[in-house]
Amino acid sequence: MVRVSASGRHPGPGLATVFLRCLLVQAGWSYRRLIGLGFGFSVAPLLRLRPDRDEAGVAAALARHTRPFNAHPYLAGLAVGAVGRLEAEGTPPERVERFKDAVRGALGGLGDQLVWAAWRPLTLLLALLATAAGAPPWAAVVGFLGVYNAGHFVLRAWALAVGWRRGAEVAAALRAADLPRWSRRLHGAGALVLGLLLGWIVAAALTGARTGVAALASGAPVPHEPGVGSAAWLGLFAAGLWIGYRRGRTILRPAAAVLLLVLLVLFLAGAL
Amino acid sequence: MSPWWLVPLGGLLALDETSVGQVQICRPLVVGALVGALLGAPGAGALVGGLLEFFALAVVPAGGARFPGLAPAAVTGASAAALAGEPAGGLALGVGLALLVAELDSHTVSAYRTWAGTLIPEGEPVPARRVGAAVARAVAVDFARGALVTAGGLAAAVPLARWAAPAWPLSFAETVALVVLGASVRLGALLHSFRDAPAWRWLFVTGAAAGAAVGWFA
Amino acid sequence: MSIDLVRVDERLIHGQVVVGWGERLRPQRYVVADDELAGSAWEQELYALAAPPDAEVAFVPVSEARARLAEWRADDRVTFVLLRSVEALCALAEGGGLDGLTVNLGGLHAGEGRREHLPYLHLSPRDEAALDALAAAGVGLEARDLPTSRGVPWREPTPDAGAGAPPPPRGGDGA
Repeated sequence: MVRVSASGRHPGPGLATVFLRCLLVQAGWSYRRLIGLGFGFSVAPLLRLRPDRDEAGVAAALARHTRPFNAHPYLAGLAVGAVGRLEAEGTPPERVERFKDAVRGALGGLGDQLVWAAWRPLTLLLALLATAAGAPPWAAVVGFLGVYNAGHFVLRAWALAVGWRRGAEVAAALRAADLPRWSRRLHGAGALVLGLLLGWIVAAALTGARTGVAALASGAPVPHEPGVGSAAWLGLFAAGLWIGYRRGRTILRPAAAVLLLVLLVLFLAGAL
Repeated sequence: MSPWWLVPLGGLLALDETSVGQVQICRPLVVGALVGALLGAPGAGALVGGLLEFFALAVVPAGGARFPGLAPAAVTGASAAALAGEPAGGLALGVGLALLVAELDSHTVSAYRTWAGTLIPEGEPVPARRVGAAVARAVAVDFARGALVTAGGLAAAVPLARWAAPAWPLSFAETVALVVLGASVRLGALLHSFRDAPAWRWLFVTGAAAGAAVGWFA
Repeated sequence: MSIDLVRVDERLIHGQVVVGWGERLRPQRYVVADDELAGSAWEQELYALAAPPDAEVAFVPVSEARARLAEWRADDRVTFVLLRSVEALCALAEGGGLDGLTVNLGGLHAGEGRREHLPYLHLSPRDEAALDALAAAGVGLEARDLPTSRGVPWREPTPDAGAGAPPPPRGGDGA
């Protein structure tokens, strides 16, 4: 339940409710509204702080706040907090809508770059490297979930707090946080760890070593057969990396389709 | 444990992809290790999960475009590998089925996202409890969607693990090498996405040299 | 030459543009052609945060964008031109400044009186008629949200193009 503090500017324990609701901000993701439904659900408790404070007013505001909106889910709380603040201050609906239109691109783009394209692959690469190096799978998984979600929840809490505190003035806070710089740093770390992992894989293929999870899966804890990494394999592996590097994400589906075809042909060849 | 218990688990894990939380328990690495452990083959599940992660790492779900699904696919793949009882065939089957289910899953997500647009009326006042009910319904349907896709995947994985996996002609090491080869393009795409970092080339080359040296002498 | 993307998308600068198209085409300049935004500093500040920090972002009225199209096309720097509506696209295309380019229809979402053509493309009858007129005038039009998606060409002009014309074929939102 949201409570208004004496100053009328703080939602009290209600912000915790809003934080939990923001975990559902992508529930009902649709082409029609994008995260509109979840946004309305998340901001609803703050709408009770509107100057008119009646159910009809909240319902009318919810009709606006369930319209199409998009943001990275971890940063959506910034818009939720800011819109809650604007509504609580009695800001005209047209201005609130213009704020939402203007902020959603930044919240989507910055979040995609920082989280989906940087923090997540980096933490996963670290977990994969640990697994390749012999860490038990459960330890890699627990480590990944712990480290990844530490960053995840800090980002969510920061976003909601900044949005509520700054209202429409969030641009300065976002600029000061300089999320793109964090993304670039994490990309650098990602390049290093990806290099480590690929170097390890190539060495393991050439020596025939079965380390880490591969040994666990095959039941062979020590190297016992010649490496399968021939010059041809190495050449194809390097070519694959190069094609992927040149084409970027546009190549994702064709790459999987080719492997599927090869697997199918080999299964059929084995069966016949 | 019967693999069919994994159907509701697939639904729950699929919720994490979009609808609830996004704490990344839907990742193949996590799902593979979990399913492998539940089915008594932790190594087989974790290896399939780890290799599937190579395919999924570069994917950025920007703006709601259709991307391969994760959790039901990984449940299927890890189950196939764990149930096969034969490392090489199980691995090949698990990866192949997972890639197929991932594609199927993405189509069900598209259908769900079209349906979800009809949950509340447009342009008229919406009481807060109605928004709450719509969210609950959306979560329930997305859970059912994930569970159904998982059930479909398992319906293929359970018999194929017994009948198809033994027909696989390559050795375990050759199979791992083949799958890694298949993933190389996607790992290259991941490197592509890191190239706005200062000195990323040096970092990558240094890492590769260090990784190769450690891997060689390990 | 370098206007590499002219896109109609009511979200203007956002993830699909910056990550999806941006990573592929590496733009050095984002031009938002929009009359309202050109005069609103606080909104410009928010929109600009979505662009990569090393890219130039310019907010100009559509008339100014139209006057500078030739300059941007001749410039070496890769430029994205972003518009909020079909109406703004029509204003930009006046005078043939977009000839030879394929305009990307990237994101117009559901609204009253808009019909769904693709999950990310909803158009009013007026928008449809305007796009038909642009296509008839030789402007290339393609619906495509991301470079990884299948592009769906706008329908060929028909004699009764306009509100009563059949919709273009539905396509998927991915390749």
